[in-house]
Amino acid sequence: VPGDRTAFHRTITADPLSVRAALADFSVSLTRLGIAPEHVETLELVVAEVLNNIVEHAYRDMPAGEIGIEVEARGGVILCDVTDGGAPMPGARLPQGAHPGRGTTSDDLPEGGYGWFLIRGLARDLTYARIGGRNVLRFRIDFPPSPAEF
Amino acid sequence: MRLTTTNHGGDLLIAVREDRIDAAVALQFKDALRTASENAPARVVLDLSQVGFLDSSGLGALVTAMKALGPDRRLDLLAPTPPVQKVLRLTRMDSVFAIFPDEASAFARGAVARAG
Repeated sequence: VPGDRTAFHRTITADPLSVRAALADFSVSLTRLGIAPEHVETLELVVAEVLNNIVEHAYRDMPAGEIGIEVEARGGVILCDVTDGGAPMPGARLPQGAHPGRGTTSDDLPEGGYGWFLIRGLARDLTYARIGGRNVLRFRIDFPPSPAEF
Repeated sequence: MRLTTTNHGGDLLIAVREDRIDAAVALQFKDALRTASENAPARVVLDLSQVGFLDSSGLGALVTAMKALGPDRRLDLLAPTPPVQKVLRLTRMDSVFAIFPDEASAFARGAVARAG
């Protein structure tokens, strides 16, 4: 089908340096598709947060396993499929992604928890499933991304 | 983690000489910032002009550094690049940190008073 294309496909080890290398390749692939730098930067940020969460949480109590990343570009939409063999999401559901600093002052501003806030704000149609012992996260990012839910 | 520090008219200017502040370096960044801002004066200005990518772990390190300075000292940000500005804006950190576009405005007389 014209317009349907795999933009990026990679299996990496769940560690921070492999994530960094994959993100660099991801950005190059998107740039080659003609996506503007400012949108590439935003797409990279969302995928970075998703991958970081897997490294830090899903594989926290076990040796680093694999993360599968599949990205398809269709017109002004990027479809991402990220799978891992780590621990399931707590409660088998995605974090709500509220701003961690809600109701706080700068003195007691939390030092973490901004990742899901960014993902929730920039990605659309987030779905999570546990399939065959793997976490499967799917989402869509429109570009130019419209952070309407912030 | 490469940071360079300069005394700038009584303020401490810390320049980050890294392309990315991501999960791979966030802990080192946090430690390096702590070391660099030990015995800091009342104002620390962090030059982010060379940083092209900041994720939530890097952002967490900025919050840690700000809180470590305590209530009597402040951490201001200098010249964040567009992708870093975007993260600061989306997470509403642009209302937590004073952000200056260039050295001239960051170190102008009265810059801190205007930043609030």
